[in-house]
Amino acid sequence: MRPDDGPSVQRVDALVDGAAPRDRQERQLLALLAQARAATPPAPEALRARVRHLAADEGGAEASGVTSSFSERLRELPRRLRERRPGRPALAAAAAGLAGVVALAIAVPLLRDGGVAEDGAPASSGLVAPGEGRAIAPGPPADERDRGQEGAEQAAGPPAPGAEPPGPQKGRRQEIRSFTRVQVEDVAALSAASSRAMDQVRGLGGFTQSSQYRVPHGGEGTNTLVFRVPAARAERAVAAFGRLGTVLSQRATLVDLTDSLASGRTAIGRSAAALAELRRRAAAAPTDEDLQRRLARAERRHQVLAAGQRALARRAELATVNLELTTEGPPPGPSGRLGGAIGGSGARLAAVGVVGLAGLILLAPFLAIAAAGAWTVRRVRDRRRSHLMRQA
Amino acid sequence: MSAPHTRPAFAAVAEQGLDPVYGYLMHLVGNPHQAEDLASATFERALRQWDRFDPGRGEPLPWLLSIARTVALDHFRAEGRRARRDERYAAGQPAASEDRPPDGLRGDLSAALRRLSRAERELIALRVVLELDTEEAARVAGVSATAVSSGLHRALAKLRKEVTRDET
Repeated sequence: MRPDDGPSVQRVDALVDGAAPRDRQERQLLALLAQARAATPPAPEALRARVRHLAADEGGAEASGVTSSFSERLRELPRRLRERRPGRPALAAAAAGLAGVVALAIAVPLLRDGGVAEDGAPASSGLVAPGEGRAIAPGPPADERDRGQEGAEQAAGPPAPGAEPPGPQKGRRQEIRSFTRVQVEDVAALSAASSRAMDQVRGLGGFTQSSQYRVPHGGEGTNTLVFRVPAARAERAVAAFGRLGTVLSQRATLVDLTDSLASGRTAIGRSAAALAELRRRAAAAPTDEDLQRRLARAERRHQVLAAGQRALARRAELATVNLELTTEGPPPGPSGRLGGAIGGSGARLAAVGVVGLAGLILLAPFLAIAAAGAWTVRRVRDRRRSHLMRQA
Repeated sequence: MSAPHTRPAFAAVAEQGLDPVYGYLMHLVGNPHQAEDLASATFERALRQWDRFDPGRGEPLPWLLSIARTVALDHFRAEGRRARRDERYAAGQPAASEDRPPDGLRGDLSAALRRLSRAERELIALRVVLELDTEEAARVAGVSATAVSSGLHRALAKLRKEVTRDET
């Protein structure tokens, strides 16, 4: 600052605000300020009368000096939001809103579908028979013939709460195929679980069709087992497998064979009748070579039909139960009714986040253009005002 | 929850704010007739916008002065357009006699003040004449508090020089 510029910026501010002068320069400045104040005239009486008349027209609310009403404050809200930077109350409100969304996401599935089973496995929604295209409810309780297997069932233990095993419908002959993937702790547990599964299947009257045990790395391993279990007890086997570890996935298919078996029986009956007739005629005419050839052909066809019928009946008798025991897979999710709901809520929130992000990406160019436009308009307006104010 | 702020009556606000608003406009435009018209327009606009005034956000005077500033800027813009139109119309016509507007400021300082820019006169009006603090003046002028302080320092230095020049 040059010496003839007088007091500093801070001192000028202080003097204007009423500080006492320290030297001659500051006293001169105060005299100048007093002159400036004295140079300002009061408002003329005509203007005063006009403004008084104007103020007399103001509405009742303003005239009565009442406090600002809720509706007024509500009208003010957009401007306040525009002008005010978000403070602590706004952040607290945003946090409360977010917590509300999370709570809602947890509460809705609990109220709607009762959450998931206690072991964290997803609740089953029934099975679909591919050949018939209809949903089949989980199987009915074991029929009278199965009562003799109570001991085996007790050896296998009660069904796992999360598993909804397949079972044949009463009075129908159905082919059952199921696949269960179960995670176990480590390779030692893998071996133990494999042995337990085989014991359980044996106890249910079934057998192990195949087993593929793989431990490619030291700490990880998988055993893929295929069991054949009497169809009526397939559900118990699947339920028992659910307790070997954490059920990662489960699926099952049912194919109804009742009609196929009935038509097979009819065809075999017709074939047997035709065969008996041919045998009677062949016995009456043993030299008829053509009749002998027809008889031999009918016997072969009857044998094929009977073999097919036996194979079909066997498919309905023994269910194919696949079990994959593995040390790999996702970590077990949160357990319990609430835990499962929280896990599902996380997925839903993630989906909402993805949709929101996609929307933001789509809108981003437009928002950027709008923001740039608003910034330009404001800048131009400020510049024009500044230009106007620079003039003398 | 904080209690709602008491809203004063507009009549009381207008009564208290009339002289400051008029003085502010006098410093900006320098013409008593124009300042009177602009002050009148300011209070009409203020009455229309009275429901938007939030007593919780500040005193009524800075709010009135902000409106007065906008009214004055609109006036300057319109004046600029009119002056350009007059210049185009008067091109080739004999020059009219210089018609200086009457000076509404009193005392020896008035000539020196007229030689300052509008922005400089505005800062003197807000800080010195109306005695607003730095923050309030900054809000009215639409600049930062620092800009108000430095601008006022420059304006007063310039005013001092202009006064010295007039005296010599």
